[in-house]
Amino acid sequence: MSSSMPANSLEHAPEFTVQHRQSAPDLAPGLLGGMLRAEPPPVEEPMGFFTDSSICIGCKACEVACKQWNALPSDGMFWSGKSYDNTLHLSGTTWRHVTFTEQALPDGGVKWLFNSDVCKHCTAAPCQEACPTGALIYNEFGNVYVQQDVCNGCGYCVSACPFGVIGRSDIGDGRAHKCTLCYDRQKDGLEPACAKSCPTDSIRFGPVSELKELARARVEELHAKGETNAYLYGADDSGDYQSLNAFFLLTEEPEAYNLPPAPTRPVAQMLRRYAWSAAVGLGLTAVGALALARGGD
Amino acid sequence: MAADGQVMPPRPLHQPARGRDTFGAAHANPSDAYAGVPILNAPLWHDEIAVYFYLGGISSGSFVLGALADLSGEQWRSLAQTAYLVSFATMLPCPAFLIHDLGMPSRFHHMMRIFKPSSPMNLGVWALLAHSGFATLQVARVLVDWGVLPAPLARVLPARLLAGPGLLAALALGGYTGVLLGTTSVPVWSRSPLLGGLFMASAIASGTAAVSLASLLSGRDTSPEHASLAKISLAAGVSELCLTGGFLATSGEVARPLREGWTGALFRGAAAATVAAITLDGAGMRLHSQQRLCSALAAGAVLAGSAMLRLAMVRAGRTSAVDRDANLVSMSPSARDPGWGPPAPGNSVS
Repeated sequence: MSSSMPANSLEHAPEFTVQHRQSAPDLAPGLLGGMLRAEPPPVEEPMGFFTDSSICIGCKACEVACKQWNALPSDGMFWSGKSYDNTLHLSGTTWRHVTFTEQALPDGGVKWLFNSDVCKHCTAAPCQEACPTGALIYNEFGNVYVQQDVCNGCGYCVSACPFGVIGRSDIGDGRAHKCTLCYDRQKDGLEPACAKSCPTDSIRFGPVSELKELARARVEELHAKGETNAYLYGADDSGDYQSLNAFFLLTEEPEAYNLPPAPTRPVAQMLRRYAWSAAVGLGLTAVGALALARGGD
Repeated sequence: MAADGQVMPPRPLHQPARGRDTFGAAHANPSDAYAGVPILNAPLWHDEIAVYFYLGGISSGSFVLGALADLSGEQWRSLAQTAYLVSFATMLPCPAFLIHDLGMPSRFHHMMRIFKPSSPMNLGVWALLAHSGFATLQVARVLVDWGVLPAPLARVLPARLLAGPGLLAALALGGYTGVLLGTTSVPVWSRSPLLGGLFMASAIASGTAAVSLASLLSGRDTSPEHASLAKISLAAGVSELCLTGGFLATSGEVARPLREGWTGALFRGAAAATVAAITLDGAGMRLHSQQRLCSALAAGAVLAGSAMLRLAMVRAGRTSAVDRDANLVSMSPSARDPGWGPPAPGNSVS
């Protein structure tokens, strides 16, 4: 991968590759590497995921493929008691997560709902808006990406994300991690590991505009077949929240897949908060000026 | 990319199963299947951040007071000196607390590689940097006045001219912290727009209290100073109390961590301390003979209350983020944010 990378790429700062004891001239780029900015690659067509939960079979091949390709550590053994979902949540070291929902039907039967959850690669991403270092960027494929040579692990993105996607592993390297949409594979013209491994094509990868056409056709097909509850989660803008480049086809309420029905975009309300802050601060400053102007009598 | 070749220890094996009684249970309403599993990830910030908010608030409030005294005439010179010294002393440990809480402390300087107003944390770093510069400058001027630093330095320091801009930087420092917490998806921090205002009022109150106490302890206090500081303290205390009530009212049920348990006790303690300080300030204004005692007690109450407020709020965020019910309340569909969901019955358009 690295041989095909442009020479000015920030992908591998010297500090990760230089193992020997560093002399002062070697140390300088290590300290400053994250401070420097290279020319970004030319913008390409936005790429994303369409995850069709109606054909997901819950095999977790995507979870395994993601862990393997990205060399992510094991989450250990943990029996959640939530059906066959012992992953439960996305985290800094789990970038695909298959949800298992058992629905009791009135006739006594049970319906199983599966969905492979992933970073939504929001087109206006709260994590990117919150990031104080500029580590979180949109890359040339329109994907939200953490530059590991810049991130200093402040944790703001973790609190900002309304989907609970991005995480910082306390046993790891102290930096924020999440799905990269296999940036490295995309650079080489390959599809992401999860989409490649999906045996039913529930996870589709491609240009977002094409995926949306495909998804809308699929919804119409399902409606025609009688599954009138089918809908797209995140394909369109909704209020403050803009569309997601990784969107889903679902057949139940978002909560059934542990997705937020209406995710919050924190920055949308930020100026209102600053206005209150400024009003209180300037008001009390005025009170202080008056109290001191009268000489304290 | 993530592992960077590091070997990570596995999680301990054989953790006890949670909720075994629901194993295999199907739910009539599938939205209940993930009951108890939070949607959000818990905030990573520890009590260091609460300590920083507390010290930064005192530093901000005392600088505002110092700058006002500086600009209000020569009779307040002693008050201004005390306030600038308090502001400088409380500003000094702030960066250490902030840097210690980073995942990679050696990269703290990456915060300053860009200016990004959409991130309150980035704006806050610049505010802290500007404030520390102004506070250092003003303390240098105090030391020139006291003959500690050489007098010619006073000629090159345009210090009084910079009291105004310094005041604005101090207000930015005291005003951004609540906005930082508010501009997240954590329900208890973000539901109400008032957290920034609440922390701002607390910053002015605690800064005034710290200056009042420092002035008393150094024996440089005067009667007019007590009277003026009591007025400012009273105004800040009343604002803080109103904003606390407003914050609870506008937060609704997601404010539960501020009503229950240890964080609830801390939050009630903060409110009680504010009420006590208001009462003592009011009493001091009437009982002139006991003004010093009332000022000292009020200042102590404000300082304790302000610490409890920051600690309660930072800790409540951790409880709130992992409360799935609170997640769903703050992320329920509204006219502003309709979100995404199944089509209404009879409507087959996606």
